[in-house]
Amino acid sequence: MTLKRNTWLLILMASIVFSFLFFLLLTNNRVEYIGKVDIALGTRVKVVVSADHPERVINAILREFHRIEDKFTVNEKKNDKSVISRINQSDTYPVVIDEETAFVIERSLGLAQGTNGAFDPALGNLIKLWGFDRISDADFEPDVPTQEEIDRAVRLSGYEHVSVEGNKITLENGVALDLGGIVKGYAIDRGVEIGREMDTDATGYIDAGGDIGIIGPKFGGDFWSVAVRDPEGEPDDYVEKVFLEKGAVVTSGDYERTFEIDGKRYHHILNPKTGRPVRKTKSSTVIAPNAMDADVLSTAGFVLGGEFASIMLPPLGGQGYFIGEDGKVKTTAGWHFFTERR
Amino acid sequence: MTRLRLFRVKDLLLYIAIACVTIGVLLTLNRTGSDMIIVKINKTTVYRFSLLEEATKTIESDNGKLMDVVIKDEDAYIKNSTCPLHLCEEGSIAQTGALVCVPNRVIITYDTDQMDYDNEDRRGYDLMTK
Amino acid sequence: MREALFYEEIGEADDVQCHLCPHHCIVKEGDAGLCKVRKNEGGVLYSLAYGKISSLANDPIEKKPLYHFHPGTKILSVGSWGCNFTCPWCQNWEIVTQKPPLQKVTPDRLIDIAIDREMDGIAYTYNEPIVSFEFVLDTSRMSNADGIYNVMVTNGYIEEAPLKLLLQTIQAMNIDLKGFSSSFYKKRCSGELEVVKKNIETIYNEGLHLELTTLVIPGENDTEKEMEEETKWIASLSPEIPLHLSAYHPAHRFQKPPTSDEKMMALYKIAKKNLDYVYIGNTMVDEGRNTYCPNCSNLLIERSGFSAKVVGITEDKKCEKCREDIKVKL
Repeated sequence: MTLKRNTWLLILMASIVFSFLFFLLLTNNRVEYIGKVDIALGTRVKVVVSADHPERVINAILREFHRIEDKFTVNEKKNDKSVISRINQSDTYPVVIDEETAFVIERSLGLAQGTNGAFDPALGNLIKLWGFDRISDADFEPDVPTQEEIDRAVRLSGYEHVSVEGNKITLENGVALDLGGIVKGYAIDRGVEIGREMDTDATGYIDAGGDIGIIGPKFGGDFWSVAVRDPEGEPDDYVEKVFLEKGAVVTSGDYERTFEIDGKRYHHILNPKTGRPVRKTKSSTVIAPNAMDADVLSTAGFVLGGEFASIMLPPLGGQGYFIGEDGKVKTTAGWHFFTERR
Repeated sequence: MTRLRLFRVKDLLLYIAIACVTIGVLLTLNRTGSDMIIVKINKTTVYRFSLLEEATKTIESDNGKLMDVVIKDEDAYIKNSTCPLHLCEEGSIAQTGALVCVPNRVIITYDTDQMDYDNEDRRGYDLMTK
Repeated sequence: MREALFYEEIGEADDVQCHLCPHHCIVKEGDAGLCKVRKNEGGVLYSLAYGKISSLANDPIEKKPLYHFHPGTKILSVGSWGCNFTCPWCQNWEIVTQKPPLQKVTPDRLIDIAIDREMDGIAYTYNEPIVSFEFVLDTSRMSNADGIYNVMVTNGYIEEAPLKLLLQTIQAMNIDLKGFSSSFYKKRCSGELEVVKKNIETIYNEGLHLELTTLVIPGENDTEKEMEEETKWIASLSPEIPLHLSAYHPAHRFQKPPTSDEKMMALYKIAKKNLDYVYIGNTMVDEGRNTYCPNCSNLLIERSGFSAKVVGITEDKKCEKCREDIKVKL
């Protein structure tokens, strides 16, 4: 009898100790993701990283976001370090610019050409008129401009009046630059680059207000599952799910930077020809190899509308999912490739 | 054969105590801190609340009241914010993972820097593009 | 739906035989031909590709690739779906091997878009334009009337009679010379080298602007001997015909690693011995980008990425330095 009890107790002790050790073993091998949330470029930026020194990587990425914000955003009240403000406010042209600025603006112009102006980096006067450059300020006062004001701003807009030759830029016709449609994507790309430079095995992602760049695959080999938000539903409702291990996905929606006046909603994606918010699209989601392209193409897709977007984006390197104002969904030929774990 | 002296009552109590401590350690290690939230204003952590106590907390800075945070059903959301567009009042922290008011520079997150990577099991996806 | 051209009813049942390309598919009722887009319904062959667009772009003309035809300008590029070849490395397989999302764009709508975007030309590309024959024919006829030129980027696998019609309305062609072995053409592409060669000859003799492209695929068509034979044959037509050597990248059913820079350079050197204008594409190699005078090596056209600038050619199409006639359409 005593022997049986001995054995039983021994087994109980051994199993408790064993499970404890086993649990410790499991925890040590588990890949841990550290995340941090910050505010930059007028939106919430979340960086999630698994690396040898995740905090260092995250902080470096967030610092880069702030550097890019200072350099490339236009907000006359706040920002005197902005290269874009300097270019816009110059009395004479051409203006000499640095390599990074030339790169971003040249890419903007190339994509403006390719999207037939649906994306346009020279809508500064229009955006300022509507106030979408100040929409994240605490003292922002929403207002609807008059038709006359809009027409005038449209006349003073257009990428065709911008030219870059080497390190010199010329603006004609009184147009002004606003790189809001490309700068978040560029910051994400730079962040991903910095993360990988600091730790070649780093994995994780950067989520800047719903614009996503993948640093590395989940757990080093798996896909990140990214939900595409339902424009009509709750904040956690989704209409589609895509699986990415690299690259970027960006969504433009009519529910993001918007204000309402007299029951009508005004959002920040303007039709460059009419100067008014685009009404025919509810949301436009684009997957591309880098976030800069995905950012531009998702804006272009929104302005073009699903029909044209579905045939114009693939030659430019984007695969997309578009929801029209009537709820109809259009996708590009290669979109389905991403909706399954392959 | 040597008899192991494991069967006396004193020893039994000791073994139970070890078991309890082990279980207690396991439970503590397992905590991700996801029932506490912290509120940062301009990058400084100013408030810390438990999601287990239902309440409406007021968030204030030197400039006065910024917003209310409503805690209910182990979840939290923003109400009555002083920002112009109230975009921060959409959704709860369980739905979106973090609450952010850009004009007021307020960030509300769970009190942990560890991200759940089993999100996909919980709500169907790791992250959301919007 | 648009009824197809170049087919006939055969036999007793509702079978038809298509005569657009040398496959001469016999298509039973309810089926489509090998190209997928010519379909038999009730004994009538229809073009499923007519007025249905899968891709639309404002492209630099250099992307087609066309380097000697209106260099530095933009062209409206359009594609549908389907193809009469079966290459396992198809770089456009999403719109060639399956029916992709399509938008309705009629010929005059397409021309309106070209005019609206201030495009001087339309390129029929992305998938194989031969299988969209009726659409290409209708659109190119109408666009010529509006002063808009037409380009086809094609595999050249078409019958004589339909080709004759295209020769009247197409101004330039880039033909994919997939390789220079009959067995390669048959086994890999389901095509015939001799047919493509004959058509290239016809097109050249008709006076259309012609440039050729060969996608260099490791282990398939990349021997130096083959490149020697290919370029010797092209030179026998004319050494002034531009040849583009394009580096392959894994796609569709073929996953071998991309063509190496060394291989591209080796084949480039051989080609340059027999031809005046050889270019390297789809790779970061620095050579084979610009156009130089075949006589005095003066820089004629400078290219970076897909942008081009004419720097050394006079308005009457001669080299600025040595006055050699340059084969180019400005």
